[in-house]
Amino acid sequence: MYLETAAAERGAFQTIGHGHYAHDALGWAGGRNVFSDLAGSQQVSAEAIAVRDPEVIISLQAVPKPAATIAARPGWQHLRAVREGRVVVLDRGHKLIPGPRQIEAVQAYAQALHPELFA
Amino acid sequence: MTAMTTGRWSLAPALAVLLGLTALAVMLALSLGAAWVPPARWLGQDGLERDLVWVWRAPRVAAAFFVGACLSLAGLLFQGVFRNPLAEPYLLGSAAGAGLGAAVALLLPQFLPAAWSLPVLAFLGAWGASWLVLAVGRIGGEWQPARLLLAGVALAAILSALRGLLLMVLGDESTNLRAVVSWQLGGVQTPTASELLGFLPWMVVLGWVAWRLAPGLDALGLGEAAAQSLGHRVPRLVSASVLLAALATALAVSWGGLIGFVGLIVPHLLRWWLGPLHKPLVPACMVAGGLLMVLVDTVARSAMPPSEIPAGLLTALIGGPFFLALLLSRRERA
Repeated sequence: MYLETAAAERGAFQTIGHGHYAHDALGWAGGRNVFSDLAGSQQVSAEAIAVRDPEVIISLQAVPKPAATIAARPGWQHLRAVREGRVVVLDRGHKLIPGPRQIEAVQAYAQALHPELFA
Repeated sequence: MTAMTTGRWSLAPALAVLLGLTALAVMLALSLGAAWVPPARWLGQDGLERDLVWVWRAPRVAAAFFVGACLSLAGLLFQGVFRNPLAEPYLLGSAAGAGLGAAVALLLPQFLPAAWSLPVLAFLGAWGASWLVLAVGRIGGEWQPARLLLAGVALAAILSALRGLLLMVLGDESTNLRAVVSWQLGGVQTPTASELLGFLPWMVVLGWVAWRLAPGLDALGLGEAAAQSLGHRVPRLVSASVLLAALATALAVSWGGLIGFVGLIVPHLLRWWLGPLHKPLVPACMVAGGLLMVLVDTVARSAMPPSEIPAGLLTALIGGPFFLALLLSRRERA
């Protein structure tokens, strides 16, 4: 899966790699970060996301917009996660603050990654 | 058109060389990236490779060319109007205005559709800043390039400070701060197919208007009085050129973020190559600026995959020393 921590709609896609608490939180939620080879906060190119082709895309947004806005990004309809409707937009809230509320983040990631377990 | 041959090269062979280099650069740009796809496999069986070239890279390469062409055209116009070799969008407030508009778009709640707010606000910022600079320059009724330039520098400082203030006030963990910072460092955005089609008319319009303004800018190079006596209406010429440059800057900023240096070095390099006349410089600058940005964006995408390097850092880090070296070598010859 690919966790987007910030983006400027058509570029500047920000994600995280190993050593970042959000990467660990994703792991505890049962997710495998496609950019686990990167360290800390990183900017990745759209084509790098296409090459890694994640199964699930989780986008953290301060003011959550519909997942359709991500599907509408140029080229993104070719990504597996978008084709299979597995794009989840989550309220950023406290998810990018390293603290005790990371437990809530783990739960939110788990729900996004394994919706069938929470049905 | 005998005037076209006063430079060391005339336009046609120079343009042929530049277009040839651009074709090579585009081939390189389409092949390089997060994964290497040689031209032989561009139309191959592998769906991912085809997508990489045509879906992910081609639109972005086109946007990079567009951004570079706009930036160097803006630089050429600003240098011509202000008769100052330092003039470029980043010194004169129009890029700072666009940057402030874009920071507003990225940080404040959206009142426009997301895809529109950034280009529209960047555009308004660049235009507003250029109008202000022109208004200050017009006070007293006479055009003083030095005064315009100083007004631009002051305005750029004010607008950058406002952008910084906005970042400080709004930039906590709950905002798009990293994306804004990255955008400020410059990076070519990927257009949709319909936006891609919009680039061509813009380039034609910008190039055509600049071409029409070129004789006036040549005359202005001889001084304002000389330009007036040659029949050019200087105030109109100046405001038309500045607004055209602001438009080009806004387009470049909304597609590439804040990318400095291209607007400064490309016109200078071409002036050394082709001579000072603006008519050949207009198309040559647009092609050369586009060529440079295609190369820069290719490095940004493929130097450290899957990470991406902000293009504005690259233009300054590679362009700066290159430009200094050229300055030194020219001094030795002189």
